This record gives sequence, C-alpha cells and structure tokens, in this order.
Amino acid sequence: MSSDCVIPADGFSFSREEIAQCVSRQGLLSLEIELTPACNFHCPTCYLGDQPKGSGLSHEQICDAIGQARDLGARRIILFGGEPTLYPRLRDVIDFIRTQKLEIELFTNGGKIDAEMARFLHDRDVAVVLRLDTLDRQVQNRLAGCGRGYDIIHEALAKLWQAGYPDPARGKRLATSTVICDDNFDEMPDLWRWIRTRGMAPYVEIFAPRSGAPKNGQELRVSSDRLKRLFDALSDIDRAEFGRKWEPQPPLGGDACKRNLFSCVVRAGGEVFSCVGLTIPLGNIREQPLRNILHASEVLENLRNYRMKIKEPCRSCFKAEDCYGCRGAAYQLTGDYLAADPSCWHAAGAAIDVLPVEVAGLIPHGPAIRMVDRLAEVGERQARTELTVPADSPLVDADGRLDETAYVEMIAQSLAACYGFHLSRDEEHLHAGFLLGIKALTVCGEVRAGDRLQIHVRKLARYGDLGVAEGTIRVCDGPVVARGEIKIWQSSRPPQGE
Amino acid sequence: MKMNQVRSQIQSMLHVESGADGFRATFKADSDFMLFRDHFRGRPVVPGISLIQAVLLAGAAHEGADDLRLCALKNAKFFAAVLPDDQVLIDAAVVRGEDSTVDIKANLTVNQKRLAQIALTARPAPAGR
Repeated sequence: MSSDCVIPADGFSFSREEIAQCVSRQGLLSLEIELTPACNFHCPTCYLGDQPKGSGLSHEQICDAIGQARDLGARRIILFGGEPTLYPRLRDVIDFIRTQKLEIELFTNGGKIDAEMARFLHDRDVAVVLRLDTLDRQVQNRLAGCGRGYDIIHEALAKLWQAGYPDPARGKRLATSTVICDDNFDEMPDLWRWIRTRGMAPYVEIFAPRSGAPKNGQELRVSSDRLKRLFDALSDIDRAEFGRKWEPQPPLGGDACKRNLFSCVVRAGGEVFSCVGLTIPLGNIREQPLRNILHASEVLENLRNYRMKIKEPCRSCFKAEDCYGCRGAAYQLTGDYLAADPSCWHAAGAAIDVLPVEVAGLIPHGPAIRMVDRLAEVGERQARTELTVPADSPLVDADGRLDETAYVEMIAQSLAACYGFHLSRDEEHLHAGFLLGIKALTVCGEVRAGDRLQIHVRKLARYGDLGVAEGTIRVCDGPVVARGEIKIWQSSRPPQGE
Repeated sequence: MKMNQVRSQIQSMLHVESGADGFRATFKADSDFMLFRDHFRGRPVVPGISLIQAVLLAGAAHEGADDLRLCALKNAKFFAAVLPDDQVLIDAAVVRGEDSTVDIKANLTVNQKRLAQIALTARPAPAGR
C-alpha cells in the first residue's frame, strides 16, 4: 500500500519535545521502508508513481538499513510498498525488527492478510494501517484501481478484527488510511464516525497530484476551501462525539505532519527521500551510509531550519510553530519543497511561485551580463537553469556567436539563482556573491544567439559561505558545450562592523 | 572578424607590450565600461570573465591574431575585486602548442597587490569572420 504518507495520528505520532531533540541531533525517530514496489492495487492517488529501476534491496540490505536507522535513534519502523504483504520475507523482516526492540507499523491494503497473517501481526504487536478510502464498493474499487479492491480490504479487516485488533491498551493498534479526494469527499464525515466507533484510528490526509506524471490525478484534487470546511467538520465531530480536541490544519485530519524533521523514506531500490511526497532523491543506501546521506543533505538542513527557510505565507502563519503544511504537496504542486503549501486554506489566494521562475529577481546581475533566464529545478545540492541566448547580448558577436567566457557566468549565476531562490524577502537585498575560482573548464562546442541552453549545477562542497560546484552546459536536447568547476562566495548576511 | 561589444571595449582599454616568451599588458576599465551598470547596480565590479577576456585579447595581440577563442580554462583564481579605474597589470607567459593552440599563464596585479591568476588554453579565431 503506497498511496499516501505514513505516520498517522492517535498515538502513532511523536511529541514536540521528541521531535525537537531529534532535529538537534540530526537523527531519526522513525524510518519508512518500502519492502517492494509491487502492488496489487493501482491507485490513482498513489504518490510513488513510477517503479524504481533495477533490483530491490536484499533482505540483508533491508535489515542493515533498519539497523542504521536504529543507530540514528529511530524507535519505529514503518513498512510500506507497493503492497508490503507481497514481499516474500515480510515475516522475517518483522521478526528482525522485534529483535531490535523497535515498534513496527505496517501500511497495507490487506492484499495477503488472511487469518494466519492477522494472528502473526497481532502476536507481534504490529500496528496495522489498512487502506480504506470509502465504504462504497464501486468508489473503493475505482480508487484502488482494482476490481476486487473493496473485497480485499474488507476481508482483511474482518481477519484483523477476528485476530483481536484493535486493542490499543495491549499494543494492538489498528488504523485506517484514507486519502481525501473528490471521489470520497462527501462521505468523509460518515467514514470518520464509522472508523472511530470501531475503535480504529482514522489516518486521513489530503491528496496532492504528482507533478509531471501523465496520470497525476489532477481531477481528484479538492480545493482548499472545501478542505477547510471538511477539516472543521471532522474536528467538530471528534470534539462533540468522541471527546477529542484538535485544531484543523493540513495535511492530516487530527494531527500535524512534521515527519521531514524526524523520519525518512528508503525505497525498494535503496533511494532515500525525506518523505514519499517530497520526491527529491537524497542519496542511496547502496552507495553510502544512511547517516552520511542525512547529515549531508541540504534539503533536510533547510527543512530542519524551516522557520527561517519556508516561504510566505507559511512562514508567518499563526500556526507556523506547529505546522509547515505538507512539504510533499508543496513540492508536487510548485517544484519547491520550501514553498507555502498550496493545498492549505491559510495560504488561499496567496501568490506562490511555481518553478520554473524567472531569475531576474533572484540574482543581482543586470540584463547585459545575465546569462540565465529561468530556474527550472532545485534538488538535493543541485539545480537546473535555462537560457535562450539573446541576439542583442554584448557578449554575442556580429556572427551571432556567444563569447565562451560566458559559460563561467552561466554556472556561477545558476548557483546564485539557486541560492537566491531560498532567500526570504528580508534577505534578498543582502544577496552578494563573488567568483573565487574556476577549474578545469572545458569548452566543447559553440553556442549561437537563439540557442536554448540548460545549465546543470551540482554543489560538491561547502565551507560556510564558500562553495565548490560543478556545472554542465548543454544545448537543449543536444550536446554538452562546456563543463567545469567553480568556487564561489555567497552571503545574505548583513555586513559586519560599520 | 568583428568581435562582440564587450571584447571591443576591453580591447580599447588594453595596452600590450610583447616580449620573447610572453607579454605585459595594462587594462583599466573606466566608469564607461558597459558591464558596470549590471555588474552590479550601484556597486560596479569588473566581472571575472572580463579579466579572462582581457588576457585573451592581450594574448591575441602578442600572437598577431585578431582574437583568441577560449578552449579550456585550466585554472583561475580571483583574490580581490577590480573596481572602476583600477589599473590592472597583466604579466603572462605564452607557450605555443603543436595544434595551433596557445597556453597562457597570467598573473594579474593592481598596485602590486595580487589580483588573479589565470591559466588557459586558446586558439586564434579564424580570420575574416
């Protein structure tokens, strides 16, 4: 079951103090691990989309990742997929996690949960989070992308109940996982009551379409004003009928989501992400230890420092202490993981930048020397920009040929644009930079006026305000024309002294 | 060959003395330098690439070529900013390669203070373009 984010409310979450301590030590409280990308459902709301290429992690590699997470402070391992019950060694993984004295959560659509599996999970105190989008058979089958979706879920639910779930007092927790979309929107209050009255925890989250995917589920998206009304209604139900008080805020009903501060995702191919919605690869555990990936990640550093880095209106929202919206939704809808969450009703009507953006306001360079037009992508220590070479540039000669020295500016300005993109309005006017060095810049081709270029920069090292980066410049859909390394100083701090 | 506007203006601000194994040149960008307005508004600084262009143009003069095209920038280090009217002194060693390329190693100073080091490979621009 892979459709949604995987850290639910009602005793499944961590305290504010635990999260703060985790941030300060750059550790983990939980690890979400995809056991297999294979799935018997084909949900239109699935975040994960394309299956990773290559073979999946071996059982030993999965256990090693879990051990690394434990060493980083994780207390809980969250198993998901694809559909994790399709993973042949699921029971071995669960038994291994128990030997590590860690809590276990299993996100499943119930695919392989028969009576025996339900007892196995019950006996090992596995918290089960079962997919349940609706009580309507036809809608469920549609949202599962599977003609037997409804039957599979409800047969599994019956087996879990028979096994003794839910019994939270004895550690036998059972939750349901629901993605709010247009198809099940009207049913949500009734579904919420249905789940609560059966002693289960409703884990309900807002659906955000995936960017770039051909079938990204855009038609299932619910507007932020409708979501506000629904969250208010669910909060009222909990207060009036179940004695539970919570403040409505996206993306989860009944809880805040700040998982990027204390959790990460390891996908079946070993790729590490901050969460399932924030699909910027941070590294791969097949290539380096998890600790190194988490400590070197600029994405995670910015998220840990979200009070300074997140953009308006999230930044000055009255709920900013306890909420930063859904970082996955922000990334999928804008390309910027630090953007305000467009699905949040508190941000309704606000102008939120969506990548690509013009760089004119991001870098201090004026038109005559500006060698980048747009910032197209911002990833983990890397970015991609674009330029259409202007015929009237003073660096273009009468034959239309661009001066090769301009390649240096392209790389430096791409880095500056990436840096400027993460600055707040207060910091923008202080943005200053200086080119300190260039190394091994090779010119491979000629560029002419009108050519469309892509500049890809990757940060290799950083020492305070100093950074080293490599850049590659290519004609769109064409060959590389130059590549090289630069060293740059950038700052947005006020000058020291007088 | 008609070079781009920036190179043309730098050339007009450049004086080159050729020697046996290299050249000595001076380059002074006065306040009319066309890139000052945009690099940066209100606090003009000579772009690093214009120092590279100055080395290429001085190298071209030394080689008797109209211009030099950059093939590779092996290494460049910039130690200080060059401001309007700074008199930049360029001392360079030039080695001709077998494939019509030239290797230039240049030390740039302002008032005897180290400003930049630039090592590059260039090729004479085709004549008549």
